[in-house]
Amino acid sequence: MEKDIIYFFGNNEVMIKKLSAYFNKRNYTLKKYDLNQLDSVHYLLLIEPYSIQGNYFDIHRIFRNYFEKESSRHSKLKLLVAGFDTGCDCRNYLNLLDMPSNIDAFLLRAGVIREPWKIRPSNGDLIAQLDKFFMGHHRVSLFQRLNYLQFGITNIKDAIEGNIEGQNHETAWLNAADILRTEMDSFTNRWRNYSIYFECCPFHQPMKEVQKLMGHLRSYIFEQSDQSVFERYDCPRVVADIRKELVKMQEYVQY
Amino acid sequence: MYSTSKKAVLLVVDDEINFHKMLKFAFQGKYEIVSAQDMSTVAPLVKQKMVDLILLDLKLKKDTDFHAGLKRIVGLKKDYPNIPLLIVTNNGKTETIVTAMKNGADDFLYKGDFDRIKWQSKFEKHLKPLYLERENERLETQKAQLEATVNSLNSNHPFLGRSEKILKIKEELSFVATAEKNTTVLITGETGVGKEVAARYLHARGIRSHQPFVAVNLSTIQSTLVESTLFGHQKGAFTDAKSDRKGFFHQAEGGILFLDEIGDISLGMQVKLLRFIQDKTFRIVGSEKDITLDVQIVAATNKDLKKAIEEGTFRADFYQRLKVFPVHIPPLRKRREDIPEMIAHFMQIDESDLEKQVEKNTLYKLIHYRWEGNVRELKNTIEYMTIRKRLKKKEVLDLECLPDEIVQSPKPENFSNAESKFGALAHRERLALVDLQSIERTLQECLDRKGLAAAKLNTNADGLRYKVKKYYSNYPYLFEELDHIKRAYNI
Repeated sequence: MEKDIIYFFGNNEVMIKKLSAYFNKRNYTLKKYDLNQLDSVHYLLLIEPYSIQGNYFDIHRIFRNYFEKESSRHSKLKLLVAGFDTGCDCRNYLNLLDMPSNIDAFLLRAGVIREPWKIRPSNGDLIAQLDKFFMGHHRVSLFQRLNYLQFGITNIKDAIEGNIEGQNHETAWLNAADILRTEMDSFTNRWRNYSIYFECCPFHQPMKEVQKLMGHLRSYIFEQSDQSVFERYDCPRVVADIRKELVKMQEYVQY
Repeated sequence: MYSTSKKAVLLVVDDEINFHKMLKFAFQGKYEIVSAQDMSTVAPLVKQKMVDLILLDLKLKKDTDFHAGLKRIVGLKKDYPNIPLLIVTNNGKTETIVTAMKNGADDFLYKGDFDRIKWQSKFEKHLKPLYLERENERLETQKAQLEATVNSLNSNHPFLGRSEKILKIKEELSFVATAEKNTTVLITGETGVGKEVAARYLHARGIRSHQPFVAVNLSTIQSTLVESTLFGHQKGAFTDAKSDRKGFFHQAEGGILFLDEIGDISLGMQVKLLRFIQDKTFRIVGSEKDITLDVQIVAATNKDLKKAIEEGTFRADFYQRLKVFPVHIPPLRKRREDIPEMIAHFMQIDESDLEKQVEKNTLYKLIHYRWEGNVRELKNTIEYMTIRKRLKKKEVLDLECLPDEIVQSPKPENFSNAESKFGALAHRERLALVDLQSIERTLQECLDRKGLAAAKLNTNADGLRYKVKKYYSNYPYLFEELDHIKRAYNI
């Protein structure tokens, strides 16, 4: 963890260049932060707005939520935000239109992740967008979809284990197939539509895990719907793990 | 799950049709799942399906938030306070659940936590009082059925007979049953004549008919235990008295205690029973306290009590107290006209079908046998013959079904005139005559009122008229001495 390295996360190349030149001139190196690693660092500079498909978003809220929850690993982290809000006087905010002459003093003054500091929103609300992913446009939440996947999979498991009078894998599958296919499609579609928003979030890892688990579930539901596949992938566990990861992700999507 | 013959009915109120489908599959064989996709069908379903538990989704399709669902809870609990109401939600927040519970919901379930066993245990928790209530109802029904069976058994042993002698006894018993509830009745007669049946007849017609009828055969109780069996005993009263025990007198409280074979009890016991008959008090064995109970005594014996008094084995004062209202039931051989009705009853057929079911000579033998064991022997014989009939694959009871002793029995001598006349008639005519004599007597009792007589004979006026006219067209000569019938039906 080197104090003279400023890690950054953003996708505005012009600003990155400008900031890179600025920091180099002051003996600091600007280095891209890897969301797959989420290393412990001293400074993480978020460059706002973050552009997603032509829309501009504030991303600092999500990052702050994440690092606050994971503060034991990132206790020394100073989360900095660079942007164009000239009216923002937060000590962690770097006004790109009025860069500080003494960056050392700025870095020293900036608060660590657990200290109270607040940046007012100036771009699109990424949390609101991700909330739509979880809660749905028509208030049919992602968990509601998952509930029906769980109902179907649990019934199949109970039928296999002989817990439902006179039923087996085949009959349980026939009963649940339509529901599982419909709900899995809805779940996957929503996932695809929103996955782009997760690419700028610090919980990249759980997202990848969910993606992998979804693949297993889809294999059983759409490709080879027999008992051996159901048991090989341990489908009830897959559904439970997807829920676990999603619950973890949703915890960061809060105001 | 508690044992119950009927599956509990769960009403699921949820607009998500898949939820119904999944629950129906998961709980098939355990519960009957009834579906309502909106509130409009709830009331008719609750009524029609006798719903035992309601599962309500807190947020139905048109709801924008949980407020409507929370209001629905109040409404449902108001309409169905005794039906457990469980709310189901996809993602209800804690405060919503708390409000739901405050509004009357009995429990909650998260759809995301679906686990068949856990859900079932929640259902069972709330259905438990219902199962207990249902078990209670089942036991009550069983009890009622048993009581009905007992009554039916009693009615299967009705006081049969339409002979003059029996009709007179029935009349006297009916009178004493309603006239004086504490009259002690002594029924005498040979073994098997139906002394207990007569006592039950009295009980059924009296003001004690809704109270117990307890029958005790004193000859079957060890003499040293008669007192404690009848009066009860206290713990420690004698070696084997490990605990307090109430006797038959207590069991019969308010009703009738039928003491069969009263001639078999000891002189000491006679004194104690005499005391009870006199002042309605007795003492539990081992107690020094007198107990007063309201119990009517009906005693019976096949012994000659007068002879027993002479021999010193029966107390004269006790006899005098017992025979306040004496009833003597004559042996069956003295009232053969009752036999066809009895045979029909024991065969569980209509008396008018008797000639189709019993071959002529066989019926003759049955009517003329001595029947020393009386009605009981006749009943056993008919049971025996019915089994023989089945074994021999016969269509009717015939001589081959008869026990040997009846087949070989000599024709009785010294028939009365009536019996001779009866015996001389053809089989069909005999039955007609018995029936007509019964109608004649009934009309006489009813002062020729045909409707009343018909009711007494368990038919209606038209039915009785048809019967009489039919008999007249077939056997006009039988009507010679039947003045009441002739007058009533202008014959």
